[in-house]
Amino acid sequence: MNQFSHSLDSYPIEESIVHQAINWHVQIESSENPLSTINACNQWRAQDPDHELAWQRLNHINATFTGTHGAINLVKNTLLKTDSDYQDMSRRRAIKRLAGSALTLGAIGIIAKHQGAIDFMQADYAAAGNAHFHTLADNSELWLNRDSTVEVEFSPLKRHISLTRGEMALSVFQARSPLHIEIPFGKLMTAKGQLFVRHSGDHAIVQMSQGKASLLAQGTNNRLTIEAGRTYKLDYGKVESIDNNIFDYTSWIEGVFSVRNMPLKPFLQELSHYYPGYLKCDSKLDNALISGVYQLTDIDSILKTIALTVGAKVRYLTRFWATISPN
Amino acid sequence: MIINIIYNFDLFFDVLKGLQLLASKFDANAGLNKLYQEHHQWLVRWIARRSPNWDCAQDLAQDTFIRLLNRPQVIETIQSPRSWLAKIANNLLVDQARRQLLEKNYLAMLATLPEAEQPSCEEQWLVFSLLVQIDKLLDGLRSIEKQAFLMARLEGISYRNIATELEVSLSSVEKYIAKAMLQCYKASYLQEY
Repeated sequence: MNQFSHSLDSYPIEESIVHQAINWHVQIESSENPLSTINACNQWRAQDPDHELAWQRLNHINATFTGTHGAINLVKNTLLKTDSDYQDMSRRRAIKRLAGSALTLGAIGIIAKHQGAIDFMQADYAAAGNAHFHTLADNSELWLNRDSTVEVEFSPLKRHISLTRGEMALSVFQARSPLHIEIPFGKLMTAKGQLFVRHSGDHAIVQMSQGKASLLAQGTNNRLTIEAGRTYKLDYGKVESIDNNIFDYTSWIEGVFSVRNMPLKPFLQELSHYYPGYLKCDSKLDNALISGVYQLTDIDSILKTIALTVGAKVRYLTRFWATISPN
Repeated sequence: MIINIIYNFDLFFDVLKGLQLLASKFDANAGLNKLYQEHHQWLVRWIARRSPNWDCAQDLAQDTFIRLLNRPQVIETIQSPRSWLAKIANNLLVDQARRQLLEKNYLAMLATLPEAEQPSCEEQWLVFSLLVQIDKLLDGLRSIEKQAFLMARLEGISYRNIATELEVSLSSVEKYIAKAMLQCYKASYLQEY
C-alpha cells in the first residue's frame, strides 16, 4: 500500500481483471438471492491466479471498513462533513478570487478605457502572494502579512501568540483555554473571534471583526472589552478608538488595498509597506482624497491610477523612488 | 486527551526521519543523494512559502524525498527535478490540509457525543487513524458515491435500501459502489508518483 509494504502489493494486475473482480463483488452484494452468482464467481476466481489476487485485494480493502470500534456514525458523519467543508472551502476561494478582480474593475474601470491599466488587472491575483495563511495546532487560522513575524507557544494549558513584527489577522478557534496575544503596548485575550493586529514601531492597532477580546494596555490596570467592529490605537498607557471606515486594515488578506476617502499622504504611507522603496507626494496633494480597491500585485500601476484620479503624474527619481506631483 | 492525539503526529514524523537516516547508510541511492544535495534546500524554501512554519517545511521536504527511496529507476527518468519535486510536495501539502480539516471535524463530532458514548482515548486514536485512511482511499469521489459506499461498507445497508434512502435507482447504487471500489483499489495498489 506504500513503498515499504510487501512486494506482492506492487504486482500489477491488468485493469480489465480488476473491473471484473469489482463486478463480481457488486453483483453478489446487490442480488437478493446470490447463490448462483457466488458459484459463477468461484469458477472465475479459480480460472487464473490473477483473478484470485484481484478478488483478495478487494476483500482486503473491504476489511479496512470494519475497524470502526462501534463508532460507525462518528466515522461516517466526520467523513461526509469534511467532504462538504472541503468543497465549500474550494468554492469560497474561487469566489474570493472572482470578487477581488471584480472590485478592481469597478474601481478603475473608467480609467482603464483610456490607459494601459488593463495590463495589471489581468495580472495573476494569486501572485499578490503577500499574505501567508497558516492553520495553527489548535485549528485557529493565521494570516501573516509580508515582513511579519509571530512567535507561537501552544501547550495543553495555554495558547500564546506574540506578534513580533508587522501585521497578522487571526481567526481564533474555541478551545479549552483562551488565546493570549502579546502585542506591543498591551496584551489581548480572547476565547473565540476574529481580529487584526498591527505592530508599528511607536504604536499598535487592534481591530476586532468578530467576537470580543479583552485588552490590557501597558501602563494601565483596567481591562477593556473590545467589541466586534471596533478599532483601537495603542500607545504606552493610552488607548484610543479610531475610525476604520477610511482604510480596510485587513484587505491585504485578499491581496487588495481598500480605501474610502483617504488622504493621499497616509495612503502612500500605507502603500509603501508593499513597495520596495520610497513613495512620496507633493505637499499640495497631501489631502487629495483617494477611494477604491486596488490589486497589490503591481504597485506601479496603482500609482499611475491614483495619479490620474488626482490629476497628477508619477515621477521616478530612481527605479525605487516614486513621487506623485501635479501636472 | 484530545491534545494527545494532535501531539502523536510528531511521532509519525520522527519515525520518517529515522527511516531516512537508515537509508542514508546504504549508499544504494546515488541518484537520490544527488537529487537531495542539489534540490533539498530549494524544496524546503518552496514549501516554507506555502506552509505554517519552517519545521513543517523541513519535515515535508524530508517526506518528499522519502517517497523516492528505493526507486532509483524513477529518479533516472526525471526530466525536470524541481517541478517534479514540487508536484509531490504539493500533494503532501494538500493531504496535510485535508487531514487538519478531518481532525477538526472529528474533534468537534467527538465533543457532541454524550459522555457514556465517548470512545476511550486509545479508541479515539484508532478511529482517527482509520478516518485518515478511509478519507484517502475515497479521495476524488463525488459526495453521493461516498455516501452510498459508506452506507454499504460501514452500516451494511442493502443496495436496495441505499437506493431508497438516496432516492436513486438500484443500478445507480451499483455504479457508485463499483466506482468507489475502483477508486480504493487505485489508491491502494497503483503508485502515482
